[in-house]
Amino acid sequence: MSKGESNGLIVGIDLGTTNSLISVVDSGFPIVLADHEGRRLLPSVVTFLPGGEVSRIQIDVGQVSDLPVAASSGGQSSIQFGLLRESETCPTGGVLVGEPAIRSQALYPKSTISSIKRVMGRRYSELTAEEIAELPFSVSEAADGSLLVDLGQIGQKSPEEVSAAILAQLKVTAEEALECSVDRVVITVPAYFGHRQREATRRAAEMAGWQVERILNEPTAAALAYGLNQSDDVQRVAVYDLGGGTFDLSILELRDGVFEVIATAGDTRLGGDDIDLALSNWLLLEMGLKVENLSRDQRTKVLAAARRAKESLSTLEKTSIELPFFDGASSFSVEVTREKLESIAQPFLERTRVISKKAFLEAEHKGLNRVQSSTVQGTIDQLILVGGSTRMPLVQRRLEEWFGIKPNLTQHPDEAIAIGAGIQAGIMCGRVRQVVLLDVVPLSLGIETIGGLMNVIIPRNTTIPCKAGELFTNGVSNQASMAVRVLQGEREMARDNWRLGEITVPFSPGPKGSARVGVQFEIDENGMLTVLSRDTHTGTDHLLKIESAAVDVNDDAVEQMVTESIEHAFEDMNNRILTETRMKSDELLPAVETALQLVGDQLPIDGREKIEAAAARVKALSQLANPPLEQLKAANAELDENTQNLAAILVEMAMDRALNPPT
Amino acid sequence: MDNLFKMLHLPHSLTVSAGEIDDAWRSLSQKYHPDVNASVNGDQLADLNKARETLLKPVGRLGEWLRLKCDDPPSRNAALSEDLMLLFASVGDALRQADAVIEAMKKAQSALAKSLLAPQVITSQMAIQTQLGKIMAQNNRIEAAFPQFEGAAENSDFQAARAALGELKFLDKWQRECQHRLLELIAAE
Repeated sequence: MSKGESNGLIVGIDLGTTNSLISVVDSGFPIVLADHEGRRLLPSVVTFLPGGEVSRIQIDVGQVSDLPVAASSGGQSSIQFGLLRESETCPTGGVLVGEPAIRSQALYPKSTISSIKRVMGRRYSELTAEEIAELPFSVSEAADGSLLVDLGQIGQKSPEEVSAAILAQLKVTAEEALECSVDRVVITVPAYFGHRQREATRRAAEMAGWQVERILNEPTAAALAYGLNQSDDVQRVAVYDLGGGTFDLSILELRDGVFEVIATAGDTRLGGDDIDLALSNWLLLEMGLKVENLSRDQRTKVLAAARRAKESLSTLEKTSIELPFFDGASSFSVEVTREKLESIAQPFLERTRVISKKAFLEAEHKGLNRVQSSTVQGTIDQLILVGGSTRMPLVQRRLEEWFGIKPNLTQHPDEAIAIGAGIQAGIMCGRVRQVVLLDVVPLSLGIETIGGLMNVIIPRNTTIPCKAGELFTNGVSNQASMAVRVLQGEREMARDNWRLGEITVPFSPGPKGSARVGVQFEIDENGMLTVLSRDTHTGTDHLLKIESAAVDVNDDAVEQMVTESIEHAFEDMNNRILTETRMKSDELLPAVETALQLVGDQLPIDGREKIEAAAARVKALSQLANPPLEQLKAANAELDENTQNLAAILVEMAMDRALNPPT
Repeated sequence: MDNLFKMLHLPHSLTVSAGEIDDAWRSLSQKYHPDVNASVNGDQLADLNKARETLLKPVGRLGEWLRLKCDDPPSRNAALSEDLMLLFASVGDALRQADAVIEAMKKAQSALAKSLLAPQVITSQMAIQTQLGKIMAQNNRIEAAFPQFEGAAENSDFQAARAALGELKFLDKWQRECQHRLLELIAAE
């Protein structure tokens, strides 16, 4: 490939859970780049092909020219997979990305990976049993506690390696479209991504041969895409970003070319994927099948069918889901209405409401001394929707109800983030002028103090870049150093937060309490943390390395046994699930009794009977010495489901009472 | 430590408004943003962010103003006014009540169990909001006296300003505690 000079060009990438895009500012306008077939959305799906099978695949799939296969032995595609090709764990096989990967899913179900973003930068021990079961691929724990994706006979890959394949593919798209080499990039992540998730994203990009100029928050990017063409002097906007796997809400102020993020809140494990899963579970129930009797491949099929149905229900009132020869013999056809989908999606949207409320409240708190008390309606001028999941009519309806403002739909929900990333890239390489962006830290940073408490040094929603310090002294005479744990998160107890690692604060020799070492935490424009120590006696500065937590795994185990409640100490997942399930039964049964006494008369007769029957089943099962886990779980779920109505009545009654107190 | 007023090119005055602080910060942040100015790193911008954040709060503004006006260390055991003592007691009650509700909500696993707690959650939210309102009123009362502190400073009289700083520090702490509980109560919903 002949290459032109890149002239310091920087491009922007939206690395999404479902789709990824790449964009650039050209003659003052941000554009999303298309691949040689004109496609702008690259599905975030990767297939790793077993070694030596490259040519067979091409025949099998029958579209040889279509496949961007990188055969590591071939050498002609060396740009495509950069460092990944040389990685030790990469077998001698090819990689497919995007549409070709989706098409080869049936052939290689085990080594076709989607939604990898869900596990970027996560440690194996952080995942709950439920989360692991819901992932569309299998995972296992690496020796250092990190997480690996299992690809069947091909072996294992880190999430970074899987992401790197997507990022490498985008590089090819960009270089072909721009006819020059590009290696500098602005890459977006959910605002609520923590330090480790950002680091993992950066590593993935570096594996793919990118030089990362900025890690940018997705909703902030969307606000840039929106705000660049606005002529109003001052605007407050909220960006509601519900993607495939993550949710963020950010509140920004746009004034005189300064884009300032005021507050952000989110959940990195909440998105359209959850709705797909819930819909596919309902589907299986309708089909009379049990999820645990299905192969992963079959589950993937149902999930894909559920997703297609969800998407078409954005425009249609009902659709039917066809699964021909599903288990080899029987075919299924299930009708699903928009109303049904909406009742399934509602609890997830409710979670976004709570998170949004938090962000608005924080914005209000932050401005408490500036803007006198304000309501949501009065605080923002625009509510911008991004992320494919905001296409659901229900989302738009609920948002209008909750926030009393009509959502602004002018942004392309799939492209706004990529466009914003392109604009930030344009700002940084001088192609966009008179605009600067100031973001915030999404999660508090702090250290562990005596008693295992988290001491916040930099509170969340502090404008970045920022710095803050803490003074340390020696506890015993001639102490050489002190180890300090660096934490990220909002929980009071240190152990409930993410442990970023440890720093070792050096002391100069002297009697107890004589040392004075200032430790400065700095967060740069990328939201990345560095820690410096300064000995105030000697005036020397040290850059403290944050040692990755892999070292203190043993330490962890001991602490858990001593301090944590019993359900976390179980090694065996099944035991853990059983305990959790029993606890839920023990909670539900008395709650049902109380609730029925309070508002049971407001239920229709058959509703009440249903609840009582479901409660009886839970009761019977939970009284057994060794209850069959799956049955108890199912009974709990049924009771939970049947009492949603009852719960809603109770909450409504509580709100009513609050507004109109009984006299 | 640097002079935060000077850093934002503002007069060394207690009566500088939030709008003036924001405007000064905005124009300087455009100049010193590392994205658009190749000759700086993020350091200056971090300082500007800190200066703005500090001065926007009455407690930060008064603290910085006093630090620059008089060298004496702030007195440790300034007496609280009776108003604040009463407020302290009611804030404490509201916080304890909120903690109990938050704890119960965290334990609940089902929507039904949570819904039974809804009345307590709402009551607690309203109680905290009430406290926040009272704290805000006290803050405003003290801030309204800032011009008088400026006047007294001309006669090197800092007694009232120092007492006010002590009170603002307490109010700031309670405010943060209340805001924190309010967020937890919402997250527990």
